[in-house]
Amino acid sequence: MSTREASNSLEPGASRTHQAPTRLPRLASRLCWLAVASLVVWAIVRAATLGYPLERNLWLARISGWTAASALLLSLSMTPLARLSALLSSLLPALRVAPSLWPALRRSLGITAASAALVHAAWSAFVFLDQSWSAIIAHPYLRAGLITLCILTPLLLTSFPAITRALGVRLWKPLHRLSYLAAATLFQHLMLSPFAPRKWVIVIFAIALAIGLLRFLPRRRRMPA
Amino acid sequence: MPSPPAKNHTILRTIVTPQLLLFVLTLAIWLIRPIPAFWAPILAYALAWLLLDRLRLRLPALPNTRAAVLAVGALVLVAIAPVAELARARSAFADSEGLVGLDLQLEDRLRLEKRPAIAPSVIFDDHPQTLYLHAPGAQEVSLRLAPDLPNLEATNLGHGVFRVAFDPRTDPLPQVAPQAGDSSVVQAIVTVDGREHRRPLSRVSPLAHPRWFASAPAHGLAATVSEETDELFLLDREGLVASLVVADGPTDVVFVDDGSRLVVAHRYTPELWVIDVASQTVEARLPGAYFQTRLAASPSGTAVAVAVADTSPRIEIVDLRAARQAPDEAAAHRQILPLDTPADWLAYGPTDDLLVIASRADRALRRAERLGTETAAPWRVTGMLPLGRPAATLGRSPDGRIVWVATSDYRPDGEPHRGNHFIQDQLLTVDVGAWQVVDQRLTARRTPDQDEPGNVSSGTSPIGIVGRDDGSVLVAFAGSEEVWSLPPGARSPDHVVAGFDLDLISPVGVADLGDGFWAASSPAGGAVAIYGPTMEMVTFIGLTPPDDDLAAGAPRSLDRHALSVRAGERAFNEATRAGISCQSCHLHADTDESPHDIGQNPLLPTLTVRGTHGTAPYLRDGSFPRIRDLDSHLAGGLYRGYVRFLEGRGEVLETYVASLPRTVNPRNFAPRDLERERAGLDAFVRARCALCHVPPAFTNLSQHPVELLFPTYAEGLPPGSQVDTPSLLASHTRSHFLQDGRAHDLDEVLVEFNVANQHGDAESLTADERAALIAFLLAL
Repeated sequence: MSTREASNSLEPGASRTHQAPTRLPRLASRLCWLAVASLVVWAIVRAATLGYPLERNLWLARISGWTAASALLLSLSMTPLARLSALLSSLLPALRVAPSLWPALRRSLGITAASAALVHAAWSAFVFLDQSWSAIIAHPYLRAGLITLCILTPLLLTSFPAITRALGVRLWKPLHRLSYLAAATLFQHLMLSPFAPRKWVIVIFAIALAIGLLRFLPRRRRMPA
Repeated sequence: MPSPPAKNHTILRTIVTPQLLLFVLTLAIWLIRPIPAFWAPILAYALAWLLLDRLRLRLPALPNTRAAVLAVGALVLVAIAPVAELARARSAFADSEGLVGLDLQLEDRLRLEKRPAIAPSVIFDDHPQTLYLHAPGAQEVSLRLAPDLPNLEATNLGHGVFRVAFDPRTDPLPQVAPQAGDSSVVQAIVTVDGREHRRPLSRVSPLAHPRWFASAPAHGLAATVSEETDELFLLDREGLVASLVVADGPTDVVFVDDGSRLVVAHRYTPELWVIDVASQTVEARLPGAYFQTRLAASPSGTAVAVAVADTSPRIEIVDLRAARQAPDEAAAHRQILPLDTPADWLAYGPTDDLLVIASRADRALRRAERLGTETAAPWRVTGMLPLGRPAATLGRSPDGRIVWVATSDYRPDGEPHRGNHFIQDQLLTVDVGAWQVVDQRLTARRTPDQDEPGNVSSGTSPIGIVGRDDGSVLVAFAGSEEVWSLPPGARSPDHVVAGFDLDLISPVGVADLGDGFWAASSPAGGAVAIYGPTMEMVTFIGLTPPDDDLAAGAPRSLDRHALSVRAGERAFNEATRAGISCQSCHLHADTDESPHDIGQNPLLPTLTVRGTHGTAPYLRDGSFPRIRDLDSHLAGGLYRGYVRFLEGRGEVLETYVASLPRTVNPRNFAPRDLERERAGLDAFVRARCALCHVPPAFTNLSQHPVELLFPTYAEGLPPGSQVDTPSLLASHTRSHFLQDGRAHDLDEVLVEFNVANQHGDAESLTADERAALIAFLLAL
């Protein structure tokens, strides 16, 4: 969910300076939105073919939920992949990828995850669960989903520099580290939810965790200018 | 070049970061109100973040190493208490977040999600079974229980669902030594369109279970059968006379012809066997029905009444002499008494023209009489006595004028008791002629063994009764592991053979061997014992290997499994200090079909404990991930625990319950209408039943908010109520459906109690499709 590769600095603008204003962030953003738009079209078309309202509502809840989950895990994987990419490019320069691509993708995917989570939550709460608020609070899997949403929403808001500046947020990175907690509560949400295929949940999270371990790869030393 | 102290100082500065400060502050805030739920520490983190962010915190520069060490030390000191509290509350966290037993639930669910999937996940050595396979898109599927065994062909029901019939009498099982490691697991091979997939199945190989007896006291004989091992045991006053192999699933035995012959009923072989006692040979095999469940011999010994529990419950009264003379025309020598509910127990009255029938399903006794003096005169039900709870067993006085009924409550109006967890073990004396209950004896008693106020330790779970010629009655109590001798008319026993004196765990059957001798059986222990007139044991007859032999088996062997099952069966029957055992409600390891107040409103009918292998979590709301947790909550908590200490009680209880098979469907023994079944499965898929009732187990083991499926029903429930998705296998055994048993048949489930059409798209089905769907479900 984080919007930049920040150091331990607490200043909202301190780490922004090294994010080069290339075309890549815009490209990443557009790619994400294109993917989401395609998904939305496909989901609606598919939903239209389902005659049973409960199944249709379930389908839309699931597709929006899986979109959010996938985007969140992908977003969290970007920094480790960047680390891997840097290592590989130092060994094989031909594999070099523009470093600014990774934070750009991370930001776009993070925003996608939070937006899809909002859609998923709204659809599930108002349509699929028919505003059964007590059920949402009482059932662990729904509560876990709600917690995930409660984490992702402020992260979404503080992903826009203008809002971050307006709010005067200083501890930006400690706030965005909550995205790891969001992944944990998302795992709980999926493991307990009645319709999620457990095997795929475990496989996807295992892959995400394995990618996450790449974070511990040694950083590439910056060459002096 | 930095000096060593300066280096340490740098390291400490690296540790004392804003993030660490945030964590410590989070823990400290959480400790103010340490609610064990994930949202609480996350909220604490948010508050801590707000606090630090709004304070525009800047960490002061630590002037030297000492200051840094002090800072770290202070943070550690602040964090110690919350971390300790977190560690202490970890089980509470797991509980509130639905994570208890997640591993077991996950194991069961992953097994069912792995295609091709197979259900049930257990096979039994003792009776015919049906297995379901789900291999979406497959055309041909077969199952082998070991690489060297032949294929069991699967019937394609459509939509990737296949059915395999397996009968251990005709289909070979893997040959393994019962003491060998891993012999309790079968590595089945599912072949899907030529491709093999291995699927492990648990294997249960039950030991002999002698239960209730038939006795001929004048000849000093008694007999009992073991349904699990297809054996008949004949005893006299000195010991075991003979052990005979009979047909598949012997359910009961009676003496006829003045004790010179035995008649054996079978569940899975449609024959009544007549056995000559002297020569111990099979004299006749009379054609009959499948699912013969109980026998009663007429006082004259010329006829037997056979309870049949197939799809048309009934009593068949067989004229033995005529049937033996012309076995091929046996059907002509039997009269049929149709019943609304299957008979559990039978006893003749004083004459050949009067029968007493106990039924579990409606918790009542019926009196049936032959209307006329002719042998062929029709039988009719002429009286009914509601009991409120079913008869656990019936005992008949030698002259047939009296019938004793063991039950856990008596409500003459037939209405359920509204007392919370109400069990009051008792014996009712029924005057068959007057057709009324003439005496009610409460059996559960306090004794000097009482170690807490109100505890009972004697007379719990009466389960075997026999009347003797001297007017006394012998009663076996499975709950308190005793046998009482009740003198004529007495309310208290004049002799109690209890506990270690009995040497039989969980006694169930008692038999009168005449001249003061008697016998008792222990299905759990796989043994019978003979006692003399002074109530001392004469002979102990082990029909199964003793505990020590079973314990010598390798881990995961059939022997070790059998030992756990034995211990678990005993634990299942054993009464708690409150006088309640598992079997008080789960009668005969099934259900008493009675509504109980178990802390909810309305009263809920008891669920069966059969067929639960691999279906975690348990109960209607899936609130117990393991059987052992249920035991610990109910028996250990509400019922004040057990007097006898048993290491690993919950685990063995779990093993026992998992070893109980689903009731076999009588429809498996009738010609099947495959096209109709396929139409039913089509309707099942079209109504989207398979969203939750996913083949092959016909459940995905999920839990749902009640309001999602039954909005109207949810209005009367506490917020957050959930419903577990039950398996639809063995639906034919259920007389109540849905969470509170409000539906009495599947049509009500689909229509009357599905007004919102959220519990399956029943509205999309025509009446004929719905009928096909119901027929399909009842055939599972």
